Amino acid sequence: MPFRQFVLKVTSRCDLACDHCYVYEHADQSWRRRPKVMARETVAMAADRMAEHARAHALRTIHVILHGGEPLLAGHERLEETIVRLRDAVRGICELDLRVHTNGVSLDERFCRMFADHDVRVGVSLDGGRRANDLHRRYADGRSSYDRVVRAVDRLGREFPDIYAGLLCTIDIGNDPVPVYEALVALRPPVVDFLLPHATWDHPPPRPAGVATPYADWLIAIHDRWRKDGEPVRVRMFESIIRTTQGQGSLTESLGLDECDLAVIETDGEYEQADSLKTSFSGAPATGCDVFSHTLDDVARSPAIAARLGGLEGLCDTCRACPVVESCGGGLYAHRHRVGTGFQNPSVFCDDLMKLITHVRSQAEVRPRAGIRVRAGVRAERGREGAAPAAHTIPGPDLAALAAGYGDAATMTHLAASQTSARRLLISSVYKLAGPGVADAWKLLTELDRGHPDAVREVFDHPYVRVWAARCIARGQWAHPETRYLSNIAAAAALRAGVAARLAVATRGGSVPLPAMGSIPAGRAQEAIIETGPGVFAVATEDRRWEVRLDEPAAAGDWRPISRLTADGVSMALDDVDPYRDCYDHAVAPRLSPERLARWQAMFAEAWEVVKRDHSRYAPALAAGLRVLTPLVAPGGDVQASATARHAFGAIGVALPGRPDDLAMLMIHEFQHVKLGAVLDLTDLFDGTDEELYHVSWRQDPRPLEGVFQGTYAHMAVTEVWKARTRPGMGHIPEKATENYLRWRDGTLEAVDTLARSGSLTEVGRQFVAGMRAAARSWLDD
Amino acid sequence: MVILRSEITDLRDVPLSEVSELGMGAEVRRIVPASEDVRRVPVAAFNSAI
Repeated sequence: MPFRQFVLKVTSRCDLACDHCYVYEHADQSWRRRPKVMARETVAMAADRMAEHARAHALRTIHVILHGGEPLLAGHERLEETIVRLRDAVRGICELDLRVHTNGVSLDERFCRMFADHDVRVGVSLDGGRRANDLHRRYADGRSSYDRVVRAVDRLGREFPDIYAGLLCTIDIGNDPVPVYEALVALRPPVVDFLLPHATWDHPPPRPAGVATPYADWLIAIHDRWRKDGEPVRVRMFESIIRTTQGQGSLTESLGLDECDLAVIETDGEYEQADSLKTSFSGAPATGCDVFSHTLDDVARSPAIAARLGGLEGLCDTCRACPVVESCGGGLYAHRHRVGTGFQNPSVFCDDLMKLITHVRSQAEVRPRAGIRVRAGVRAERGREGAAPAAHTIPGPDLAALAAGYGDAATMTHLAASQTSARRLLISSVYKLAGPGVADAWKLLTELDRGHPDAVREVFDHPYVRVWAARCIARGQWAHPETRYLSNIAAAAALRAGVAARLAVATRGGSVPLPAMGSIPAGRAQEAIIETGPGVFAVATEDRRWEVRLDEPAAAGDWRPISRLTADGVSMALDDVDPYRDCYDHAVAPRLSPERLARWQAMFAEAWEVVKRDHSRYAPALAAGLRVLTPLVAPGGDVQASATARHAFGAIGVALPGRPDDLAMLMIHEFQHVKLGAVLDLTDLFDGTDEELYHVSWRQDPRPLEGVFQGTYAHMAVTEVWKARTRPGMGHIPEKATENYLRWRDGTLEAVDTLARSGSLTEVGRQFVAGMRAAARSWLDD
Repeated sequence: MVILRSEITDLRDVPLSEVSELGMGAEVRRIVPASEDVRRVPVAAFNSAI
C-alpha cells in the first residue's frame, strides 16, 4: 500500500516543556541527536520523494502535516519556503492537502496570514480550560501557556476560519471532563479530538485505585454531554467509532482496522513510523531509511514497516476474537507494546476502549442501513412505520411516455419525488461538511422537518438549493463559508412554516437571500440576524434593521420577493434574485425592472397559450414540473439564449426572445433536458466510462454519449415544434418551417440511431432509446 | 417497458436528522460525480495532529 500521509518534522525542539510529551519525555530520546530545524536540502529531498511516490502510485491526493517539536520555531520565512517547496514539488502530479499542527504559543497574525495565503490548515493542541491546560502544557520555567494559545485560537476562529482545522486535547483524568469539553467547544473548533495519554503495558497509564475504566468514564461523560448538546462539534474519536461500526473507515489511527499509510520524516531526513512509537521503546519508530538514499517504496519494504500487518491479521488472538474489534482495531499501535511480546497484545487501554465503544454504539443507535425507519403515517400510501426506505420507482407507462419525449403530471410527480429525496440526501451531506457554524440551523431544520415537513420540502425543492448543495459537496472542504447558506435555507423554511425562529444567516453579494422566497439588501455585512414569525420577518445587521410583512406590497420596500408568472392554468416563479441561479453557461440577468417584469408576464401568458394550443403533448409535464424561470442576459441581435443546469431540476434559464412562440419553443426544448436529467439521476441509461465521441448533425465538434443523449432528446421536441409550425396559420412561412422540420427530423433520427448503435447502453437505456426511436420514426409516416 | 427501480433511495419519510447518519456516500457521489468521499475530517489518520 502506498503512503498517503506524511508527517514532516520541520523542527525537533519545542518552546513548551509539557511533561506528557512523547517526543521528549518518553522512551525514545532520538531528538537529542537531530538538527533543530530541517535543512533546506532535506526539505527539498523530502518533497521530491513525496512527489516521486505520488507519481509512481498515481495518487490523487497526499496529506502533509508540518509537525515538530514545535513547527513554528522554524520561523516565518523558513516555514513559507518549506510550504512553497512542497507545493512546487507536487504541482501537476497530485493534490497536496497541507496542514500544520502547533502548540499555538507563537501563532501570530503573520503566521495565520501566511498559512491562509498558502491554504495550510492549522490544528492546535489545547488540553481544556486554564486549569486543565496548565496541568501539563507549561513553559520550562513553569509559566502558563494558556493565554497565548487561546488568543491565537480565538484569532483563528474569528479572522481565519477557513484554515482553522481543530483542537487536540490530551486526556488527564485528574481534570473534570465536562469543563474540559465546554472550554474547547467555546472556541468553536470545527473538530476536536481527545488523545489517550501515551502508555504501554510496561508503563501503564495512571488509574485511581478501584476504578477499572477511568478513561472510558471520562470520555463517556463528554460523549453524553456532547450528544445532549446536539453534537455542536465533530469529535474524531466518537465519529470514528460510529463510522467503523457501519463499516466505514476510521478517521484516526488510534481506532479501526485501516492499514497505516503514514510515514514520518525527521529533521535529519530519516524516515520513521508514527512517532507515538517513541513511547514504546528507544528506537521503536526507526526504519533504517532516509530521504537521501531511499525512496518511499524502499521504506514500505523495510522490515519495520513490512512486519506491521494491517487489519485483523496484525492483531493478537484476544483482539481478533473481540466483538468490538472493527471499531477498536487494537487501539493505537504504540499502546499495545509489552517487553517480551512486542506489539502482539491488546491495548493497555483495552477495558476502557471496550466500555467506551459499547456505550457510544448504544447511544448512537447505530443501525445498519436497512434498519432505518420511515416516519409513520406521513404518507398513507407508504408510511408504514418500521419499513426500510425503498428505492424510487417509475411505473412502466410513465417511463415509456418519457422515452417518447412527453410525460404528464403523474410522470413529473415521480421525477419530482426522487429529486426531493436526492435533495434531502445532499443537504444532509452538506450539514456533515459544514461544521459547528450551522448547528442552530440544522437543529431548526430537523424540528421543522418533524412539525412542518411541507415548508421544508418547498424550500429544499427550490431548484437552486441543489445547485448550492452540489457545489459544497464537490468542493468537499470542511466548514467552508459557503456551507453557512444552510442557515438561509432553514430561515426560509421557518418563514414558510410561520414559525418563530432567530438565526444568523449568510449574505451573498450584499443581500440576505431566502431561497424560494426572495432577498433583502444587507449592505456590506458578512452576516445578518433574521427573526421569523407568522407572515413577518426582520433582518438586522450591525447598523440597520429591516422588517417585512409578507402580506404587504413589496414594490416600495427593500424586500425583493421572487415574482410569479401566471397564465391560464399555470403559475411559476420568475427567480431573478437567487445567488445560485448563476449556474448556466450563459450570464444571468440582474433583478428585472417592473417594466421588464411586465413584458415577461405578457409574453409568458402568450407563450403558454402557444404551448397549450400547438404543442399540447408537452403542456402537462411543463405545467407540473417547471417551477422556475430565470432571465438570462440577451446575447443581442436575433440570437436566442436558453439553458438548463443538471442540478437545477425544475428550472430553466431563458433570455426573453422577441416572439411568444419562440419562448414556447425554448421552454419546451430546455424542459426536455430537465426531464432527462432527472431520469439520469434515477438510473444509468449508458455506460459512464464510454469515452468515445460521436458526431451529431447540430454540432461541429464530436460529443460524448451523454451529450448525444441530451441533444437528441431535446431535438425530438424541437423537431415536433417545427412540424407543428408547418401547418397553415401558424405565423411561419410554410416552406421555411418545412425546411427546418426536415432538417431537425433527419438529424434527430440519425442521432437516435447513433445512440442505439453505440454499444454502451444499459438494459434500461436500450429500452429508453427504443422508445425514442419509435417516436421519432413515426414522423416518417407523415 | 419495465418499471424502473432506481438508484435513488426514497428518503421523503426518513426524518432529516437520520438521513445524515445513513452512510450513503456512494449515492451522493452518484448524484454529484465531481465529489470525492466527504473529505476526511482530520485529513490524515495521524493521531498527533488534527
